[in-house]
Amino acid sequence: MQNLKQPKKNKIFEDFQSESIRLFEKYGLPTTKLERWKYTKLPAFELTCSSKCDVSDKKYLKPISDAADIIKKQIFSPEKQYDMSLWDMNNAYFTDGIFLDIPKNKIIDTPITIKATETGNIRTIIRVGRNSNLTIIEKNASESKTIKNHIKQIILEDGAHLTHINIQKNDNKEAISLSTSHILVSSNANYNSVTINMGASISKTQLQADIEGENSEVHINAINKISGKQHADITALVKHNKPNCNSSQFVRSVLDDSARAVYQGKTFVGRDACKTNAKQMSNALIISNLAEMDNKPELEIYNDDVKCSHGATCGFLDEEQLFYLRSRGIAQHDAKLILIEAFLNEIIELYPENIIKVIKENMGGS
Amino acid sequence: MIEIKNLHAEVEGKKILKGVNLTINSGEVHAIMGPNGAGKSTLSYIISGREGYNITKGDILFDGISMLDMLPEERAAAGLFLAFQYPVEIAGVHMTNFLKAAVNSIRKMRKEEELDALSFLKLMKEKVKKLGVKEEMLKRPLNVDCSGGEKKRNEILQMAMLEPKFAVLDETDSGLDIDALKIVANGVNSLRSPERSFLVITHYQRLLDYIIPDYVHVLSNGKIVKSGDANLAKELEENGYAEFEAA
Ligand SMILES: Nc1ncnc2c1ncn2[C@@H]1O[C@H](COP(=O)(O)OP(=O)(O)O)[C@@H](O)[C@H]1O
Ligand SMILES: [Mg+2]
Repeated sequence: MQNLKQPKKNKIFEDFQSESIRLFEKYGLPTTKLERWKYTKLPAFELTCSSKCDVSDKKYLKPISDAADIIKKQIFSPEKQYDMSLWDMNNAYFTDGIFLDIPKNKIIDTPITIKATETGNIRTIIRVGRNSNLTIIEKNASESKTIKNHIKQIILEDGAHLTHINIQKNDNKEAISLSTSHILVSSNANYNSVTINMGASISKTQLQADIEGENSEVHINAINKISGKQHADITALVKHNKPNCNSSQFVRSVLDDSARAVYQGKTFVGRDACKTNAKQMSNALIISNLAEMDNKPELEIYNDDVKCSHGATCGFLDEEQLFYLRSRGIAQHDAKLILIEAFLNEIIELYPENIIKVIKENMGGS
Repeated sequence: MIEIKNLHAEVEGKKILKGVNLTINSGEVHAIMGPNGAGKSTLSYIISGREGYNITKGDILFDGISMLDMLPEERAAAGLFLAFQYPVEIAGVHMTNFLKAAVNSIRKMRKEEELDALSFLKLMKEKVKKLGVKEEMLKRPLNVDCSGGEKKRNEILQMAMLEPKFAVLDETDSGLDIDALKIVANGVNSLRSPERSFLVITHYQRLLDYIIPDYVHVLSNGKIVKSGDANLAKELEENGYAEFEAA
């Protein structure tokens, strides 16, 4: 039970705001008792302000009130697969946000950058119109000990393609970065995301993709490259509700010192979703004996005509590979860096060259 | 150039090398032959500084200096090269990037100027052409999805790029067809010079038709049991190793 300070009401969303306030007061912040928060413990905090992302290209921005239908629809979805209290908190203090509305048939070559730098409840709505194609580079950066509760609602209309690179590198090492995305995918659409967790003390990235059309693809990839006492959690759910769709969840983690990473991934295949092809794989490279990886890949399948696989591995740097590189004159320290990079390259190289370049530039030398 | 003196070594308490003596002078090519399990690969790994061996006696001198306390990368910088019997696959590392890192790392340790991207590529293309290696190999991840022969050719390309003073080739010929064998032999022969020496480990005499050795040694049960000239290899081809295995 938590009492909220009376938040500033947002006129457009008044009805659901009061409901959210009631729910948040009832449930409070998520606890490790919830399945989706089993491995990630949040410290107590209050977050009573809102902030919004900065967008590089303002051409397609619309007022958030134009997204009222989207916001309402997704919030009152009867199936609450994800934990809702971060949404409720976000709703309660939500005053403004970004609504990026890409019209139909737009092929946008230059990636659009959105930046989240300030403490607050952040709301971002992205709608990609029919047959449009774009890349979004989301950058999380903050100089101080920020707390961000970023809720993203993403809609891909028929034939839309969105490549979503979420870089979480330059967040202050004491920051808390919470990202919750709900992605609605129509037919012949493609949502391809890669989340790169390198910053913050605690980061939790929750993604739920609902595939509601045929012949679509969802790729949820992630890299955790953390050290010290950092904690990074990727919790993903892909729901196949229609036939002939592909999805993948590939996570690679490099864990040094006493860092801890979590991957909880689930593929749900509904009764109608025949010819589903879904893969899940989490691989962790443990650099220090004190580091920890928690893997929980899951499948829930209600159709026989599907191809689904899942797996997880955890290991140390390969001594044979290390020796091979050193025997060629590469010093031990550099050889380790080469092997770590190679391990992560297997995710990065799933992307086309221009995207690889962006990812590498943003990851930097760590 | 290289002197192996009364070398005794164990792995996990098991005695594998039991007093190996071998001196290789500049410009010489020596071959070591011997049955499986004789300790040939163990010897090559110990020379290149792999961990996990307990050296109980003896020494290895390279240009008069003991190598036993040197790291593998320091040995490489000093001019040592091992072509692996089983080259290691590393997904995500591209041959070109790897070679550049190796060449420049060695140059750095030798306090030489590092090669820029352009001069490196030029050098690499030159070697690739000379050795008859497919250029397409350079874009691939290191040894991944390569046939046995391609892996061995990769080893020879690496050797050509790093220009060692002393190279050990551990069964580089095994599993090669005759064309690949010629490429490997050609790679070695084109590097032969009065300043450079080779230790060619092989199970079969065939390779030694193309790389004519100055000396041939038989290693059996952790010891060199016989030495001779190139003719010894031919004798072994006819008579096999039975005579030595019994010993
Ligand atoms: N890491 C190891 N652990 C245990 N035994 C080993 C190891 N490496 C080699 N040996 C043993 O040492 C002996 C020599 O092996 P090796 O040097 O590979 O022989 P060769 O190359 O002549 O065939 C073999 O009996 C082999 O089983
Ligand atoms: Mg061997």
